[in-house]
Amino acid sequence: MMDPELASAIAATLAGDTESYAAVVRAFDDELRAFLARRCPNATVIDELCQDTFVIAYQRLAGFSADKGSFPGWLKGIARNLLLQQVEARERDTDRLRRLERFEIARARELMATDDSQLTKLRGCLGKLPPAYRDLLDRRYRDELPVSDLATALQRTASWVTTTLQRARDALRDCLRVPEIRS
Amino acid sequence: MSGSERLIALLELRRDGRAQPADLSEIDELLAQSNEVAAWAVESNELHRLLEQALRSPRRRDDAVEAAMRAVRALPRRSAASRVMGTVRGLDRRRARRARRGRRRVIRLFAGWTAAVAVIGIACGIWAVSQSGRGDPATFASGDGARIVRAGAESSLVAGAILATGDRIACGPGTATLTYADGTSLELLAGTRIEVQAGPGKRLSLPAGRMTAAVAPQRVPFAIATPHSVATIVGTRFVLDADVDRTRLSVNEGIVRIERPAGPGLDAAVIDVGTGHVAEARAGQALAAHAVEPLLSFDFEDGALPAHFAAGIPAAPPVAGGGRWCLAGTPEPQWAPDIDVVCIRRNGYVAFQDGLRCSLDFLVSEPVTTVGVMIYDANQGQNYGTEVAAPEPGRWHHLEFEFARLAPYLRSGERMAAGDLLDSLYIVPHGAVKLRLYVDDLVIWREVP
Repeated sequence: MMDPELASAIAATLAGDTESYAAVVRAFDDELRAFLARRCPNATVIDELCQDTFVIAYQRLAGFSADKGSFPGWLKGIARNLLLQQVEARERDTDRLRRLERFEIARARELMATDDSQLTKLRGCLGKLPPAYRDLLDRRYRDELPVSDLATALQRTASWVTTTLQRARDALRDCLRVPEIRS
Repeated sequence: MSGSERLIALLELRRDGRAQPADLSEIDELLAQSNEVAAWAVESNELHRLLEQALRSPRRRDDAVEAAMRAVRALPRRSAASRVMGTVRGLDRRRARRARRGRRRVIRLFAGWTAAVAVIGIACGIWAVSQSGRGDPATFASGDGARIVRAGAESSLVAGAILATGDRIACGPGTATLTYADGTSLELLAGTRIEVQAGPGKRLSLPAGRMTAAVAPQRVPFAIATPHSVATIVGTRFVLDADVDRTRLSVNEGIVRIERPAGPGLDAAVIDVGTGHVAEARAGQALAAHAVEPLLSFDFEDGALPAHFAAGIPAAPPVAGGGRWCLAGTPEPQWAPDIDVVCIRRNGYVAFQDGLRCSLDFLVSEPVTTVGVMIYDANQGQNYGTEVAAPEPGRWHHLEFEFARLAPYLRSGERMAAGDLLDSLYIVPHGAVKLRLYVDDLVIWREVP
């Protein structure tokens, strides 16, 4: 069942109140970005695809029916189509891609059929991290500090920062691999 | 450092956008060791991107929502999806056209020469004359790779060299600076050629190139001859730019008189160009001064990527240029927003108006077939662009264009309309797989009659 506030925002948007759509964007931006982040190896393209998805969804909002599926699922369907176009464009130049990019495109293809973003689980795993790891990740991702600046701020070597960041990510990866137990 | 530690460090460098081509090649080599290593790196990157989104700051969240809403408010127009694919389709069409268009472009360019005869005479006098310019020799102050031809013998120029009548100077890959004892200074763009001429005071010829001058008050006017004109300066600051199509004058300080003689279909014209104004002598175009309204200007001297830019990495110029910093990109054949240099961030619109212009300096590290500039018109869902053919690698080039003259890439015959919202100004070289593109001094302004 759709959240009443979301249903209200969609109805207001369809009635001509464009600004009501901001509530829709705000409600699903994180989930959509996480969905794209797992499949798209490029942060800038993630930004663009996310925005394009919301614009297309706005244009096609009247065509959404809660009977046919969830709203986030519908959004991800739009995002998936846009992402597929990007992937195909990149694949046309496969012989010029670097090895890492080729592997990332293959991974995107592998995940294309799924809807999982792992966002909820990741947030749970972040809550279980040791404070020192969590602090480092916050500085790196929330404050957007490059490794060199982090090393200066923490009075550590760049090598220490990269290694510790990787340990924090390894801990998260191990946590994400633990199967969820649902009641 | 072990192989895995090295790979971790290189991946982190890549995430910060600071990996050099050699670093990227090293990543490829390390990943080639086994598929397990590659799978680990892909998973590590995936988690990195997920964290980027999950931990982004509230400000970033607000910015993202606002950006999406700006795009929505710009509707009803064409689907934003055409922006993504439109650029790709536009590039494909351009590639197909490029081969057959090359020869025609050269013919058109030189045909334009014959009609573009204009003479600029410059005379100005707004400061008290206080110093003598008579007999001042020029000193070569700086400039990587500059050469001098004196009495038929060519040699490298070294800083501090005194220039004499008859000397011919060719700038190297960077800008060069000449100074005079009275404080007058001339900055010559890479590739510019000048010759020291005989006569009273300061006299030079400028066969081709671009010169930015700050001229101290002169008792004897400073004379600069171009293929189409002689400029005489009493004391002012200006930029004189001569190429095959036109001569363009930008006056930063003082008053300049431009004189164009009568020609086929053209009446003689004389105008005064004042501070903050420009004038251009071009075939088939009325000679008029236009006021300059600056909109955006970037010299990157703070070493940071300006907020208006969607992509580009602040970097030290590969050859001496106008400053300590410029912007670098590592473009690939596709128009890719992560690795190109992209000005006017998506939805950071500039509204099209008549007289809207842009100029920038660029340098490519390897030979390329073209350097293209392309912008997206959000109202039309159309890409417009232009390109420079085969710029010499390793030296700075100056590119200036008027938005109204850009060619439509997706649907021919369309033109920008007043008020159209423009964004995503890509600057991309084509025709080389591995290269670096450097951009500096990007300026967008409007010229108002």
